[in-house]
Amino acid sequence: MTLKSKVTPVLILALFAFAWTSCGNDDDNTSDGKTNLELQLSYTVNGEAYEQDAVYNIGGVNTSFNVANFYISNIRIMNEDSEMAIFEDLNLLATPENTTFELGEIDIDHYHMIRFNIGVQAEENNQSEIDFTSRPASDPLAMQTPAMHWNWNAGYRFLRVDGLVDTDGDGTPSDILEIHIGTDNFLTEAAVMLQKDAEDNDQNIIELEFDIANLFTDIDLTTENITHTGDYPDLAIKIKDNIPTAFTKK
Amino acid sequence: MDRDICGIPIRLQLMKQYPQILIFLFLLAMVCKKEMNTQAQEVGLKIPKGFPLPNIPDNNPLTPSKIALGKRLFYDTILSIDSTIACGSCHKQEFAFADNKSISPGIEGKLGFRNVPSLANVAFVAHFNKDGGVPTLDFQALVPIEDDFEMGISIQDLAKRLNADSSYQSAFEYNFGDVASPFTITRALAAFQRTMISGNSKYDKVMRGEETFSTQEKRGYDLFTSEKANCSNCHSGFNFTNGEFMNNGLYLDYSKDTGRQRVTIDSADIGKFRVPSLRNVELTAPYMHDGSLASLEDVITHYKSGGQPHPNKSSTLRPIALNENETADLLIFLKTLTDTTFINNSDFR
Repeated sequence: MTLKSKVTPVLILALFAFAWTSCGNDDDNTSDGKTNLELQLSYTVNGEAYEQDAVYNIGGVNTSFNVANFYISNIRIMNEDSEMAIFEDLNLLATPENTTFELGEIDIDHYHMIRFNIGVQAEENNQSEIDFTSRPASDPLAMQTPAMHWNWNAGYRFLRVDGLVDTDGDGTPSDILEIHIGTDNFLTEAAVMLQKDAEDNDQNIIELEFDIANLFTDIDLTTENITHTGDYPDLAIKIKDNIPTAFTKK
Repeated sequence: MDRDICGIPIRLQLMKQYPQILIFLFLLAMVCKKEMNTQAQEVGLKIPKGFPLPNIPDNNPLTPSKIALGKRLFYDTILSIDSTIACGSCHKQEFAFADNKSISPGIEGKLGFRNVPSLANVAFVAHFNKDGGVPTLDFQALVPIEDDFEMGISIQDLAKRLNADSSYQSAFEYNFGDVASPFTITRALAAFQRTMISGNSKYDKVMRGEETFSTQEKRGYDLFTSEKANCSNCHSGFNFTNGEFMNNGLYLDYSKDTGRQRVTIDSADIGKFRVPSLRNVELTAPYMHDGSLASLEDVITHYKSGGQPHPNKSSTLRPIALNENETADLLIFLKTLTDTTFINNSDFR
């Protein structure tokens, strides 16, 4: 056996070991590229900062709000190649007081678009596996105050907007506004273009604006101000159709 | 997954490939049945002949003390915001745990929009409320507790109330190892209601060979099950209901209460309501989802007419030509479904 024949296998082994290590380093680099993603919502009405019980003019009707809560689920972040990061197990309960959410780790260099559902996925909404009375208090899908569950129709109010409207034109909101959208058919997708590069740090933030007034586009609040979905489905459908327009990039 | 046995999902295809599995499953089902029977026996539940075993969820086993807690809650007005209304205020034993009003008043005399259903045999019901909006008895009690027209209290506030009472506190701790909560309150109430089994009417005794129908009752029974009257097409099985949601042509306009459509948002479900059991029907007047028919005679008159031509009306409904004698026979048979043992059972008081 010549020296050459002895050295060749050693070289091959060394090269293989190098290649193996290099692959490992690539993986480490990918891991290093991960960042924590946070979602921040800004509640507005006609572009102004939301304030509970303040009077806003919505389509010519003075209106105030005291509840504006909704569930967000099935969050998907896409890059320009339409590759998606999915946060499928998250159910977030947005309220004017609760607007910042840790979504989790993500490895993406460009946030092209965010898609999400307003509401709760059918398998959790139908209460057949775990119902809202069985969930720990820390779970957004547990019973809430104000209630986000329905009792007469097992499931959640996906969107709950309560307040007062001025139906008689005297300028003072005094009649009930009660918009409760739910049931599986009303699970609604929203999509917002982000066009934002990931920042090279541990925490990236996606900021969205939620403008409540946009929920009521082409709705006459003097006559259309109450729906619990099933009782006034026509109004519920209008609200559902308006939901995607309420979200924009901030 | 095609079936589940004792909570274990089973694929039928697998059973075809491995027939030994069938034997194992048969033995497993026998063990489960024995366990359920044992549980039922331990709490004194007597399942009438011809009845299936009730579905008792794993997370809410029946125990005598839990049933007692459920009974205490059932009759306690603490369950309403102003402490005036208990479950038993509207679900009265003398009426087979229904009421004799079209619409029973809730707190402050408020009137909802539906007639109180009987609680007899709720252990065997698959969908709750007349529109089927609630999938299980185990949290159905949320509906009356939280409804503004019934008890009007959030169940979280009710839990606080109950936890402020030391005797309730210890009862919940004993039964659930936990405080009163939305989960434990609803489960205790469900446990009590599961014991409300009615299966000792004259009809049942005749079926068991213990008694015989009178000639008129037998004529009524034959009519009830005949194609002519077609009653048993919907009021079928041991509990006299097919459990389906049907439009019986009561109205042309259901805008006051659209029924199952409230839940499904499907216009094809307008005017559909869960077919009720006819057990103890003699005691549960007035009838229909809104209590609009005062007597059984009125109900029979409605079905004889074939009902209003609503587009969703069940195709099984058509005018029925019953003469006076036949109508009387049918009425007499319906009265054999009255279970006096049930309405006098001191376990429920």
